[in-house]
Order: sequence, then structure tokens, then C-alpha cells
Amino acid sequence: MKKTYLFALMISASLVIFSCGNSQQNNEDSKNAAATSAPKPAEGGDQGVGSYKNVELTHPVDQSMAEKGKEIYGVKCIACHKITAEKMIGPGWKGVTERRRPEYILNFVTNTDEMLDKDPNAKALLSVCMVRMPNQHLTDIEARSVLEFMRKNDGKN
Amino acid sequence: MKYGKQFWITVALFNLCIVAALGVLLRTKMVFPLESIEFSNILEAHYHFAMNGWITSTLMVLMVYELLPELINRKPVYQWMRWGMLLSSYGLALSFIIDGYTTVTMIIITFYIVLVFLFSWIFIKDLIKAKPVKPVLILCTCALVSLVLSCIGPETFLGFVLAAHSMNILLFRDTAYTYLHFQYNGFFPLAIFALFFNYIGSKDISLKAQKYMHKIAIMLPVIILPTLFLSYLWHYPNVYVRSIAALGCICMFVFMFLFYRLLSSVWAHLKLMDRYSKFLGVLSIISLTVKVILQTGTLIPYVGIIVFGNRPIIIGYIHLVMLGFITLFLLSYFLQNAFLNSNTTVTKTAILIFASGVVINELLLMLQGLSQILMKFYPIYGWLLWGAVIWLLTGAVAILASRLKYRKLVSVNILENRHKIMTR
Repeated sequence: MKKTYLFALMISASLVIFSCGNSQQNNEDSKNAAATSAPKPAEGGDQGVGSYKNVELTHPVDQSMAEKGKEIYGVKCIACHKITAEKMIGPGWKGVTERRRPEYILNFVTNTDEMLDKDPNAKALLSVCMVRMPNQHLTDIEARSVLEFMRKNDGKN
Repeated sequence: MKYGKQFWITVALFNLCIVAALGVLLRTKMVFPLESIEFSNILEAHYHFAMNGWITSTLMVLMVYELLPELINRKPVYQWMRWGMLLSSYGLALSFIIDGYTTVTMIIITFYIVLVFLFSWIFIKDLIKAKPVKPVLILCTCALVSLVLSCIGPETFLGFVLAAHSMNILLFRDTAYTYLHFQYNGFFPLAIFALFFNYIGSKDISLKAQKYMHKIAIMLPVIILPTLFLSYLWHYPNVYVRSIAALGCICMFVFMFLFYRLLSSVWAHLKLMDRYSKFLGVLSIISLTVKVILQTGTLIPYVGIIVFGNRPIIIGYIHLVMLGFITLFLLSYFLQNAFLNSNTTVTKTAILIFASGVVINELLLMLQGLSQILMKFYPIYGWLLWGAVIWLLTGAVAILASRLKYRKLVSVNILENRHKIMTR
């Protein structure tokens, strides 16, 4: 009989764990949201580490590239990134083109390891996410397509 | 004894359900918006609890009750340590879910590690006194040494996390990998083989089989060090690291060869095992074989580059070891030792649901990884995987339910059998 009680206790304890987790999460989330957006919106010189120094954007967004970018996202990025603002393993993509310069995004996508080792903003983000993004070996055109998809996702023109 | 072996087996199965439930939560977050849940915190809770709450504690329960003689295994100190470890596993999972890595998690981990050291020390002393067959003694000792070594890792990197919040990422990853390696290539398989050898050692086996057991018991601990270098390949892809890793892989294949020879030489005994236990055992051995092949594959630089960036394959690999090899072995052991009653339809169904869940989950992850390599996108995978983990949770809960329902029956069966043997 006692054992039954103990199990009831365990189950209720684990329920408490989950409900506590949820209520405290909101706090945590806003903290994290602050942390992810904190590293300054695109200021001069904030282009990260890599070969992209100056990227000319097209207006409006190149639809066919954005379409291709969406496909690449579905294959290589979806496991860790959502296209909403919700953080999963990596940060959500909503608003990323507001927070970062296009050079920064392209450098991160194509030169992931060096960025994570050297760029202060990328390092700060890493200590929030705790998981190091692996290099996805995208070509320049593929990376650019992903950028167009991010811009489209943010409603840019 | 109030909270004896039977109680702890039930607790173990309950903990398996928690691990599965956390897994469902993770997969749910991947397909539904769940703003209130912090993915990485649940992920930490999921894998720490899988390692501590389910695998490590179950292995320790089995080691104490199966390898030590009756009088010694009832020592109160083991009971205290089991409670301590159980509560700290719950505490750790809880604190991860609430707030991720904090001072609290570090305190709990430290407490847990002290218990691990204590357990290792006391258990080895008792085991030497109990005089098991030599392979079991070697494997257990090395298993616990490996466990103790693995514990040094988290202490170091937690120090980093708390000290700076921006840590040396390379070191962080290497300590994390070292910790993982000493657990799932060290402690887990060594303890599993100790239990398996203890089981077949109790049978009337040939001299040849005994020799194989001896060789494997020496081979397995030796493999741990060179295969550690496989984990370092991702950022030190130089020729020395690769050669040592290659040496490790050769040793693994020798080990697998010896293991198959051993299996065939004791086949006459294995044949008589419970049908469902045998079925899970075979799945477990297949998982081990695939694991060895995949590990060896990462030696090839091209494969390494593809695999290290491919999350579905990495996750598939981890679950191949944790679920396919280790969990299925433990369930097979439970069946064979009548901790689960395979004569009932409920248990049979539960086992089939869980085992098929493991296989489906594995196939889906590998297919998803493959389509990532081939640059093909199928959004349906997210949903299929979500279904697979729910199926797994169903299986785990059904196993627990069958355990609770038929436990009494199991003990009656055992008593009857004993009675039959005695009256013969």
C-alpha cells in the first residue's frame, strides 16, 4: 500500500515539475529574448568575420532565390531553427534581418566555425544556446538564397 | 526488505517513462509553437535524466542485486545511496527544466558525483570479497573506473559556465564529449557485459566460451582509450588523432568478432531463453553492430564532415546506443529474470510497442539524415517523428503498467518454480 502512495507522490511531484517549469519559463524566455536581441541592431562595422565585407541587397526581395532559400532551410536549418521568433536549439529567424547586417548573416552561414571562435556577438549567443552550430557547407549562392528567404520571412522588400 | 530489488526495478521503469515523456515534449516543440518551453533546458533534462535516472541507476541496482551475494547486497549503505541518487536525478531534471545550468544544478551534480565515487569504492570492495568469475570482476572494476573518470568532466565545464558565462568553447565541447564517451562507450557497455557474463557464467559453458569471455573482458576496457580519439576528430583532424582512432576501430572489430564467437559457443544456452527476451537481445546486438560500423565510418574525412553537421544522424546515433543497445538490453534482462512477466498479453504487447518504437524512431532519423545529405526536403518527417516518440512513450507506460499489474504474479511464479525445483 505504502508503495502505491509513493508512486502517487512521484507522479504528482513530476506534475509539479512541469507546471513550475512552465510558469518560470516565461521569465526565462523574456530573459533569453533580451539576450538574443541585445547584441546591437546592425551598427557600422558589425559585419562579423569572413569574406563578406559589403553586400548589395536587391529591392524587392528576389522571389526565386527566396523560394530556393526556403528549400535549403527545410533541408539543413529546420532541425534547429524555427521561422518564428521562438528559440529552439538555435534562435528563431523572425527579425534576424533587423538584428544583423546581411554581411554578418552571410559570414555566419558560410564561415560558421571562425565566427563562433572569434566574433564576440556570436560567442555571446553561443553561451545562451550552448550548442555550437555546425558548418552546413553552403555555397555562396545557397547562402544568399537563405538570406533572401530570411528577408522575405521578415516581410522586407 | 521493504524497498528491495522489486521496488527499484519498478522505479526504474517509471523513470524510463519520464525520459520518454520529456522526449515527447521536445518533439512536440519541433512541430507546434510552444513559446513557454525552453527547448535547451528540456533537452538537458531529457539526456541527463536518461543517463542518471534511467540507465546508470538501473545498472547499479542490477549490479548490486545480481552480482553481490544476498547478505551483502542488503547493506543499508546501498539503499541510502540509491535514494540519494534517485532524488538527485529528480532534482537535477527539475532544476534543468526550471532554469537550465545554475548554481543549483552544480550543487546537485556535485552531490551526485560524491555518491558515484562512494558507490564505486564500496561496490568494488564488496565485489572482490564476493569472488565472482574473473571477467565479471575485471569488467565491473573498469566500468566503475570509467564512470569515475567521466564525472571529472562536468565538474570542469560547469566551473567554466559559472565563472565566465562565456567559456572556451573548444574545451567545453571536448570535456562534454569526454564525459559522454566514458559513459556510453565505457561504463554502460562494460556494466552490461558484466551482467551478461554473470548470466552466462552461471550456466554450464565450455572452456572455449570461458576463454572468449576472458579475452572480451580485457579487450573492452582497452578499447575505451583509443576510441576516445574518434570524438576529437571533429576539430583535430590530424594524422595522429586519426591513427589512434583507427587503432581503436580495429580493436572494436576484433572485439565484435570475439563477441560473435562467444555467442555461437554459448548458443545452446541462449536458445533456451525467454522468447521475448531473446528478441530484444537480438535487436540490442544488431544496434551494437550498427554502432561500431557507424563509428568506424567517421574515420573517413568526407563522411566525418557530412555526419558531424547532420543533426538527425547525430541524434539517431545517440539513440541507437542509448535506446537500441542499452535500453533494449536492460528490458531483455528484465524479461529473462522475470522482473517482467512475458506470459501475459499486456507485457507482450507493451514490449512489441516499445521495440517497434525504437526501430521506427531510428529508421526515421536515419532517413531524415539521408535526405539532408541528398538535399531533399520532406516536412512530413517532423510529424512522423512526433508520432514515433508518442508510440515510444505508449510502450514505456504500457511496460510500467504491465509491471505494476503482474508483479505479484511474477513473484508467485518464481516461488512456484523454486518449489518445483526443490521437490524434484
